[in-house]
Amino acid sequence: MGAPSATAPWILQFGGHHLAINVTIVGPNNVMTPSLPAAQPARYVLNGQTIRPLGNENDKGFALINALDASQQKQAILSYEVKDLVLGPGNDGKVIQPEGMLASGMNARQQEMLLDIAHEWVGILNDEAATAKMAEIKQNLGKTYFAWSGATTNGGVAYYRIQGPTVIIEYAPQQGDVDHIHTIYRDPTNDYGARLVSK
Amino acid sequence: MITARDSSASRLLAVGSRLLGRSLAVIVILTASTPVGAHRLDEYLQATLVGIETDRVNLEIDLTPGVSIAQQVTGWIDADGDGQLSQSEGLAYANEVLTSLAVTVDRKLVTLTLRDVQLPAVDDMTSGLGTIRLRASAALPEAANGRHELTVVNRHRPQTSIYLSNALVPSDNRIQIVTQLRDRDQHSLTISYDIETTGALRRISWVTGALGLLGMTVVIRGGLSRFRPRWARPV
Repeated sequence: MGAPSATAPWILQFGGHHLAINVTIVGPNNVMTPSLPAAQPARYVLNGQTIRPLGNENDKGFALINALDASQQKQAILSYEVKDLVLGPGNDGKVIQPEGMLASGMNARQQEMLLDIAHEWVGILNDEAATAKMAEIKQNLGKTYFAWSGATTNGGVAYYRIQGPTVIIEYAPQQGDVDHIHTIYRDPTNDYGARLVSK
Repeated sequence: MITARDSSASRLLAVGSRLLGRSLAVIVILTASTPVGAHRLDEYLQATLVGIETDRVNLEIDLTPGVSIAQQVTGWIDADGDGQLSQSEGLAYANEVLTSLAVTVDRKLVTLTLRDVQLPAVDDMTSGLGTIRLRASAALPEAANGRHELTVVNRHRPQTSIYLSNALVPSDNRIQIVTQLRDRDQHSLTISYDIETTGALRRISWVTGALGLLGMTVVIRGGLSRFRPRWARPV
């Protein structure tokens, strides 16, 4: 969108059947929110090799929920089913009331695991931009929530959400199918580079 | 194998073009051949966001039919059967949806008023790409300070639907969401929220004002002393 420029805002968009990447570029800065990486099938074999497009996102989520103790899980696990993205397309800049467990109640290892999950989305960007974004997320970690709905055994159907002041990540199996996953990565303060463009 | 575009991904890309305020020049869309079964098929997604203000509640309801029931949903709206979705048909359907909703505040039923309805193109609907967007609100009785409870129950087309129900963070910082309780399927959402007492706000405002005045006095005195003319400085 727009003309590539060293100074004026423009957006690099890449979209496919199960992918929407929006990178807003303003001078040396860029942001990748909102973006929607998704997969179906979420597991397939190619040339004898098993490919899992969102495998890390799945496995790291299950690892974190199982790294929480019983009282932490009680805070993190929602009592209701979440069958789709809450803040999917059409919900730019919206902020839902956060739920789940505050990362401030996690120990250092659990917090690292949470940041590592977030990096699966943030790290799609180049290292420089990803490093800056991860620093921002880390700075706000005390105000960041981790919410989970569904099975806690890897292989089961489970939804999770990471929500902080400048990040929202959702991982949502569709129609109860672990082989069909939609995810979304947002910054409610900076979707489509709103914060960058307004500077 | 039938080719289908993913509604979520393409809608997210389309928004970018609008926000940048330019026409969509070129977008590389790599559309893979994928069975339609890849997407929401036989479910009607009803997603509700609830915005609470001191004097009213706002509902944002997005209705997305799966591709295999989209024709059926189109039929619910297209009352004259001409294959088009007119604005009046959209309004009638939106009001039908609202009558399936019950909103109570402190256990008293409030009346929803439709503010807006946006219908997708029929082709988008029938191919499972369309979302019907309803916006409604209800005036609330003058809110007393303290704890309140708002419940939204959605009984629209439960046989084919799945639900998402969430409170938005209130834009008015006098309102604080305390809890959200839902049934397992999210047909109903009960939000407990506090409205700060006016007295407390007044006290906060008074203290803030006093501190501000003190700060300004210090700054002004400090600033003036720096700019005091040489002849006026003590020797």
